[in-house]
Amino acid sequence: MKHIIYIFLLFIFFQLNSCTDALDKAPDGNMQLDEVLSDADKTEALVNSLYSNIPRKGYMYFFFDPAVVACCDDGWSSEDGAGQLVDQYYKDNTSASNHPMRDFSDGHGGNNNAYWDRCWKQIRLCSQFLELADKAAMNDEANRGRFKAEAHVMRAFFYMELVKWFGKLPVLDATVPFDADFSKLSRQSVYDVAKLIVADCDAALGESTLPWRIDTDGNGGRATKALACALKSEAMMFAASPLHNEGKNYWEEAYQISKESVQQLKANGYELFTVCTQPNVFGKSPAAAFRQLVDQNADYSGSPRDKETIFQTRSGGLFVWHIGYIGSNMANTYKCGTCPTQELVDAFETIDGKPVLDLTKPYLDEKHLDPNYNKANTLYNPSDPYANRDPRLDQTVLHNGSHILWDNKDVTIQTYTGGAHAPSFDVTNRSFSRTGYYHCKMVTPGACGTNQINNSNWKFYRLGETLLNLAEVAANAGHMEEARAAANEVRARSGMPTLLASLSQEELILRIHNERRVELAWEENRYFDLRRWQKPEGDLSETCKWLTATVITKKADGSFTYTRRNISGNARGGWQNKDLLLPLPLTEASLLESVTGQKWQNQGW
Amino acid sequence: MIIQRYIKYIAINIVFLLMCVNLFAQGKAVSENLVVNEYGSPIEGVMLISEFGNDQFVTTKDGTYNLDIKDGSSYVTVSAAGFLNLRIPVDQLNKSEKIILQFDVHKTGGSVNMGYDSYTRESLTGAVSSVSGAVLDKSPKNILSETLVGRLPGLTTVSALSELTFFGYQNTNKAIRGISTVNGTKPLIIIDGVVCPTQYFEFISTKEIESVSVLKDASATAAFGIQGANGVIVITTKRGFNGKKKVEVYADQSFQQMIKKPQFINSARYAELRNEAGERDGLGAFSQFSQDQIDRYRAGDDISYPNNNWYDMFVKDVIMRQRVGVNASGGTDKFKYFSQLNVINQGEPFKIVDEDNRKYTPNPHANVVNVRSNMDVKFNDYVSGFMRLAGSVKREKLAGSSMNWDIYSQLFNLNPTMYGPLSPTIDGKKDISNQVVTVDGVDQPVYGMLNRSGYSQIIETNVIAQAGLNIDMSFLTKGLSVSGAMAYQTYMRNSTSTLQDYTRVVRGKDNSVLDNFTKYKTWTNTALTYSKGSVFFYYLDLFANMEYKRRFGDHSINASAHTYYLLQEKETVGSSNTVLPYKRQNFGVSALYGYKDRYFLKGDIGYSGSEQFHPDHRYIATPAVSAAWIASKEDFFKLDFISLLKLRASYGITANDQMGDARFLYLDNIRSNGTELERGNPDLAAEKIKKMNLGVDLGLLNMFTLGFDYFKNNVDNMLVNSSFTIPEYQGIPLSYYPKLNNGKMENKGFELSLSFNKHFSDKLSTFAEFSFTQAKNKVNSINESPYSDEYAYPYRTEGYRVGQLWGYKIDYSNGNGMFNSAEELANSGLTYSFGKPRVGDFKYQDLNNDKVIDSKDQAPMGYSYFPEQEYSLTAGLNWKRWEFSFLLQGVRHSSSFLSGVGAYEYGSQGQFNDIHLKAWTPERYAAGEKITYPALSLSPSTNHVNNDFFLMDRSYLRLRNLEVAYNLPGSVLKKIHSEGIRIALNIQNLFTIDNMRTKYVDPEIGRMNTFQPYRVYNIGLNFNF
Repeated sequence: MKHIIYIFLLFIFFQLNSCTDALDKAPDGNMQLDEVLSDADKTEALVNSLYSNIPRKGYMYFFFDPAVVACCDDGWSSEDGAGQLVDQYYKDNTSASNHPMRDFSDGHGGNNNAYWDRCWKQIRLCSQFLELADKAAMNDEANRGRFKAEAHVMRAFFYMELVKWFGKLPVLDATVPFDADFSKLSRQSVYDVAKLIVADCDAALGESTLPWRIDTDGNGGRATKALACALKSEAMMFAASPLHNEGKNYWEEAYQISKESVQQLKANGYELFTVCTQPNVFGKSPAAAFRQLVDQNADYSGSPRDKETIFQTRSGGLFVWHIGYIGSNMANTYKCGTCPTQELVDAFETIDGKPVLDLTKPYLDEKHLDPNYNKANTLYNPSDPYANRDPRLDQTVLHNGSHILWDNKDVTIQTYTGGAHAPSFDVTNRSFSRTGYYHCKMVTPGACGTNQINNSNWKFYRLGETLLNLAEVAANAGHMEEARAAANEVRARSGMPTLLASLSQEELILRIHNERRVELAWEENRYFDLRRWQKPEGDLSETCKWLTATVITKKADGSFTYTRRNISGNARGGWQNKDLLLPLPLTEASLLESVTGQKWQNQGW
Repeated sequence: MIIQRYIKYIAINIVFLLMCVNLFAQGKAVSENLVVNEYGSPIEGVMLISEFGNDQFVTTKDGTYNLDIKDGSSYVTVSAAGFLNLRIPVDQLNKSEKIILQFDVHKTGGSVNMGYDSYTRESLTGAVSSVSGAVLDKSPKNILSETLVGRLPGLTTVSALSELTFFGYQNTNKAIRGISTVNGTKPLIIIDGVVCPTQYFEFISTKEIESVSVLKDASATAAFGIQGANGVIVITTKRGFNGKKKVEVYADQSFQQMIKKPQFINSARYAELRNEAGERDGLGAFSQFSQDQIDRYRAGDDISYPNNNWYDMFVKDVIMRQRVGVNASGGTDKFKYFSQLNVINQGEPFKIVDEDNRKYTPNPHANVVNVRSNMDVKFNDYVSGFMRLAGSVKREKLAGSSMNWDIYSQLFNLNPTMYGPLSPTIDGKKDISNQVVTVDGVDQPVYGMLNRSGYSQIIETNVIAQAGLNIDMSFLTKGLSVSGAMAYQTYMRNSTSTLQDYTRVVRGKDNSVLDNFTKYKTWTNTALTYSKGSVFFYYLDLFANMEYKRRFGDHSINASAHTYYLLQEKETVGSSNTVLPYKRQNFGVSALYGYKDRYFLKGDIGYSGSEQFHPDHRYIATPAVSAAWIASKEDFFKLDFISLLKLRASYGITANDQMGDARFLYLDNIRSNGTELERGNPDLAAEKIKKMNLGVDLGLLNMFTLGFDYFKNNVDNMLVNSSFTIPEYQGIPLSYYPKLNNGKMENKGFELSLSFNKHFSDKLSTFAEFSFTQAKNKVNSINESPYSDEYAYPYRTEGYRVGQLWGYKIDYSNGNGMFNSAEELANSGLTYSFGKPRVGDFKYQDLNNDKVIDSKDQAPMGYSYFPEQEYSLTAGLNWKRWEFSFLLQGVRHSSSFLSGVGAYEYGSQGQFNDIHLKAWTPERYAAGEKITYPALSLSPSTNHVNNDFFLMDRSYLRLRNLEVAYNLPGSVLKKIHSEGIRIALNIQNLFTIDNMRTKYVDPEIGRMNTFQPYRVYNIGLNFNF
């Protein structure tokens, strides 16, 4: 019996000794952080990863719909019956656990979702790089400072993204260790976050190796000092805005920072793009340069055509003529996407620089069916509403009678009832406008199935916007002259007359707000502007609850009558107090609330 | 190291093959005797095997045997299916004229293969159930898993797909005794002692299988180490034998028919329902179709207003399947063989249209060929060897590149009002004439998928090669032997796609004309183009085993030690670490000690390593102890009516190292481009699942058997994500955060069986067996951080079963649970966070009383997808030449939410099912009609969320199998020189009783837009020579 046991033991012993390394992992390129930092090429790869997760915005939301535009009062999406992002938003199908604007992704790599997770991941990568940069191997010692400065700017960039969507945030300027105690954590004010953004940007601006402008394609999309200036200006404007200022007045501080930013940008070669270089494409309209600016990519060279764009995404633009342009009854189109509302059309002034509606109360009724016309305006004719308007209207909106070039043929837009492009109020029909208008600002004239021109890469910041930031903060801080000057500079580019010195502070602020809407339409500012202009207890019932279309009837004599109607018989979702900010992801808020014992979720969610 | 072993094994196998050639020497007859049953009738197929296993014989049809004991054994074991084992001392063997075997009424006879070793059933200390291949062969199914349903108490299988030609390993979800860890339920599968690739399992034919065993408790699975936690399924294939050769030829014809045929409503009704939905959405009474259009659809006499039933147009009512095969087995005491060829021809489920200009036939169907050759060779008194070569080749043809279920699901996107399937001939417009019609949003019209997409041919090949040597070490001590084996198993999938594209056209809005078709998107008719793809992977097993079996008077010992090394590459392609080869290493020892054949004590230990953990924690030992006592064999046991009383107990540890697809849990994973992926935790170790089993077997009156097992599985170091307590804001994505080892859960339940077994005469016998299994699990800790107090249920995982369903409870206090008037809606004061409720929509319970219905009001409801209870009743009768048997099987405590097609009415411009026909309308409500659905909608509404209306009870009771067979009498057989001819009628899934809200969805499949289970009628013919 005993020797049996010995034999068994011997058998097992032999087997145990046979393959001691058998279960180790094969080398497969996975590595520890130290290995990365000891190799200069891999360090550069690590720097590249700081630029991951930049949202692509524009047409890269769910199913190529510009969702942020469709969910403010500028647009209405014909995806409103599709059950997806905008449909859920319009139906108030939103909650902390599932919010279409926050959670919808369609796998096209737009990064336009999961902002909370993505941005914090990038913020940590930036902080980690700043902590490790001094011991990282570099191909060129001059890079070390530039890389660190880029990490500062990108950390500010991702904080800015978070603030826009979520408001107050915990302020972290270092990585969090695995064994961190999360119980002491709290959300700090937007002003505190803005201070961190300003500090990061100032650190970058102090770094001599960080350039003001990218001048080669290979470096396209990298952070610059110009981006730092734009971020500072925007962050302080948010901190000073009613929604975020917690009852304090930060306008003067915001004004100082904005003014310095604009001065620095101009001193370093940034200027408005005022002269159209391709009139054969963009026409001879006074706003042709404005259109060319937004339609074409900024070029990277020592003497660029476009000196206005501050930061554009590296990812390529999107074909849009078949999914978000004219749509209806046109060859090779799929859907018309998001169309401009009557409200946006109303915002364009007449050519004499007078608003069409009274900006203090643009509509007399809740449902926007009774416009409160500006009595001082003598040019606007409700029976011929598209005549004598701000030239930017025709560069933003296709309306009845607009002309486009399609398959080398001139097409006249017919949105009157029975016309080829008449609106449809059937939610299952995604080819037709719900508003009586179609969008054109982001589409290069002539683009269509036979002339496939990409949309421009998304432009995050341009000088025009930073100037309007300055106009807004200056007006609020009481620096009336500088506020008007900044706004007038933008207006002059498109041939609009100056704002009069006789405007009161309140009037000027309203005019600047309206100027932002017109100049920056479709550039994803309006959604956030409407929110930050509200007080924390406010809501969007005046702007985003009821939206209107224009139904045009062609009379026997060829003239038209114009009737306003609500696009939907039901109020549109997304106007309530809670909609001023997105909810934190439910699991995150619950977890932080249970760990810290404080309230983390945004109000109303 | 591995290479050296390779060479060693290859060398051995070459020698082995050479030696095979000269092995057909006949053993000489020493005695000729007879084995009979209690009625004196001879028994065919009785195995007589010597103590040390070297000499054996199988009786012929007339019950005679011919056995020469040369290995020095002192006794011979006589065993046969359905009879008790008998042990006869060698010196008595030749004296007795007849060996009489007793009927095995309480199923204590025979032996059970436990993966590496087999044990007599009598000596079992743990929980094992098994079934023979012959029983599985009663089910005329292509996929092995589907034949196991209800046959093996403790093994629960749930079909996720009902497919005739696709043998994917995810067709069925299997679990043994429920779910014991959140990290998976997949049992380990062992075929002939070798870990089996998951794909091959489904391909193996029932004709090759001798038996299937399911190992359930720690004593049976501890020796499998880290792979044993979810239980083990052991398949033993048929072997040759020393005796008269047997040849079986068989042919089957099956008729397959889906048990549920979905309802496709007519155009007029469809149009009315769309209008009804529009009206409820506030768009007016005729928002979608005018009354005139509806009338025309109803009249049906205008081809501009079609009424298409796409289902009838494309899906066959009955599908054909044929199976033919032959096998031969037999041998001598030196060489034994079993060879099998099995061919299945599975017909196509779709109706294909003959198109004039087509140069190919796109009939989607499949052929499967299974082959197996098992050979055992005795080289000399000490050395024997085996070689098993098996495999399958499936040739499948697909219409286009779409799997059949893909085509089937697209049927539901087509509305009856759609014109088609082809556009009419339109004068002067050739490009839109006779093209495939579709509607906006449907890119894959079924007609085009079937008839104009080209075709694909897929060849799936499994090759299983095993070879090994066994050395009888009786020169050291009697009963000791050592064996070594190598197995190489590969799977290859090769697809050649010959595809073309086709023009789609859509019809304009104006129904009154028939020429308003326009091209849809950019597709055009193209010529066929070729492309090819392939997938390949393999398992390489190296295996050694040592065995010691001996009896010393009243004492018996059955011990084995095994070691194996497995190198495996999985199907995954791509660049994640799942493409790296998987390696496993395991050692195991089992030892059973028996005294007087009534006291049994068994010890098992596994020792295995896992690549998942740091070298310091890599190896884990999994011990188990178990014991059994057959009290009824005791002399003092005087209760005559108790014919069997056996008590069993086991306790031990099994282990698991898997955590989804995650690999190398201890390592950081930073890619060379700087992307940070997983962060490792070097302190992790395998999770240990502690298993206890207490069992009793009670036999009464030599007729009834009662079996009861109680089990409890516990784990308190479960591998879990730490992320539940870590906020995202720290920046490392939670899926990459280091894992922890501190989850806790339990799984407990019981198995009960009641059987009846009686031979009334030599010509009449009957049996019945009812079994019931329950396994309930509960997650006790998973590092969950609870929601705030505002939540009606702050915990969503801890304290609940794995996969607990959550949804909104409907407030039925007003009778029907819907807002029946605008006043009722307004008075409720409720707002919903997921949309605005309309009149006629569900009224949900505001569980936290904040007047807002949101995720805070979600409540646990139903169970989980995986059933907690399963039961079966199998019974049969043998009378003269007739055989009759059936299997009823059912599950309880299983649920999931019905969604999508068949549940939600708004998809693809309206998909209506029986429940939608009597939806809420003010008229129906006022008239007091029975309302089967809330107000219809054209788009998602507040009704289309998980709630207790859409909660489906997936309980069912199915008549899984029914067999009637007749054996032809000898007078007929003699004429054709046959030993036996059997004609059988088998019916699978004859009826199902369920509790579903809609009658068009099978409770097991749980979706409408996929194939439902098939009812199969099969006629089979067997010839034995």
